[in-house]
Amino acid sequence: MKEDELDERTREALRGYRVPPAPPLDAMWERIEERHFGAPVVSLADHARAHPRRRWAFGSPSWSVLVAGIAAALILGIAVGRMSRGIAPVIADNGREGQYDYWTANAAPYREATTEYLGQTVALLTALPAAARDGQPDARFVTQASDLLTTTRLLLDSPAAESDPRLKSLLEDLELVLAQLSRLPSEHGGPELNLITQALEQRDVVPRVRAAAASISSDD
Amino acid sequence: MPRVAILREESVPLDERALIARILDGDRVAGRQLYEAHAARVHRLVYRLCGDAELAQDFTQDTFVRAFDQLSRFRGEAAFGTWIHRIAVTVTLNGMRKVKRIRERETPLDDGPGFGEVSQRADPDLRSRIAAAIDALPEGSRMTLIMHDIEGYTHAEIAEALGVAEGTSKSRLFEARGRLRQALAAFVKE
Repeated sequence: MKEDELDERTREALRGYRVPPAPPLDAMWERIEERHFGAPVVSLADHARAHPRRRWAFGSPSWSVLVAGIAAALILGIAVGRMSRGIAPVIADNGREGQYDYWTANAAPYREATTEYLGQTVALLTALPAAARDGQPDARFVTQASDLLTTTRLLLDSPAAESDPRLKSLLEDLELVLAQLSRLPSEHGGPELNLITQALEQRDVVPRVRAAAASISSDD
Repeated sequence: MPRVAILREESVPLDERALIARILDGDRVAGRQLYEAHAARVHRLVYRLCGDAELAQDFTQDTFVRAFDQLSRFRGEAAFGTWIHRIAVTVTLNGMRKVKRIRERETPLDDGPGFGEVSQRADPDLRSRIAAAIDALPEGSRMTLIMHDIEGYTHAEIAEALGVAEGTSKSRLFEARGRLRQALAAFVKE
């Protein structure tokens, strides 16, 4: 074997040294949160018991917001599912040919921006239970949803979204959810937040968005 | 202005200073955001260093708990990412020293099988041989090699994380690569 070939094979072997598994981010965070912030982790079921929902009636001013929020979460679940199914073989087979050509070819700045954006969106969505804990959405939470909504629209207007229909679809649906979150009323917004949270959780939206972000960022 | 520039300037970069202030104020949402921004990379490094999934989780958790507990001491002279990686390295090294199973893997080079001897004959696979050679490196050289050649850290970042001079980081990397080449020398002859 020639030295050049050895160097190349050595580099490959180095990359394969102790390849980390996917980090269990949610499980680790639960323990960190409990140890540092002190408060017990409240599950959605606990929260629902502690904060019984109001009875909703058609005609209530918040009804349309509630329906729109749940619909947004449902649509997002479906859209992210579609995107995840496209990503799954990439992760499993490591064969990315024909997928995400745009990212692999030209889009390092957009990839970076999109990955950061998706990470922040995941952080926001995973923080929903904590934000809903007091039964009221935190003002900072709503502000952040609004900021992310702005970023979503910038990304939607970028060549990155134009070149990748699945990314565009995901961004459009995230835009819908973020728009609902950014319009949560300062009072009595807890039930809406809680229901949106449940809809997102039931459809594993956060892990899927995270997988999408990982797929994009791994296309180096 | 090009679209790229607009995106990069207005993509809401993580304002760590503001997040840190909120965490100090007890805001767990901000804590989660800061965690999301750094946890995956910290976990990657910790796992590469310890090679054990459960330990990597424990050390990653310990890293963030310690970082949050000591956040009031963070003066912002370096990036938060640099600071937390330094904590991660310290936590991992101390943790590994406490774990017998890991310590056995940390057998000093002089006490273990010689490079290019046992592992070379017992396992012809290059990847296995490299893994064995890395495991047998002295601690400082091994960490530098993992951080630089595998995880892509700069010498400045490694120096900050390990608390050594940049020159030391460079010399350790040179030494580690030399030992790897020595261990793999038989391949050149084949």
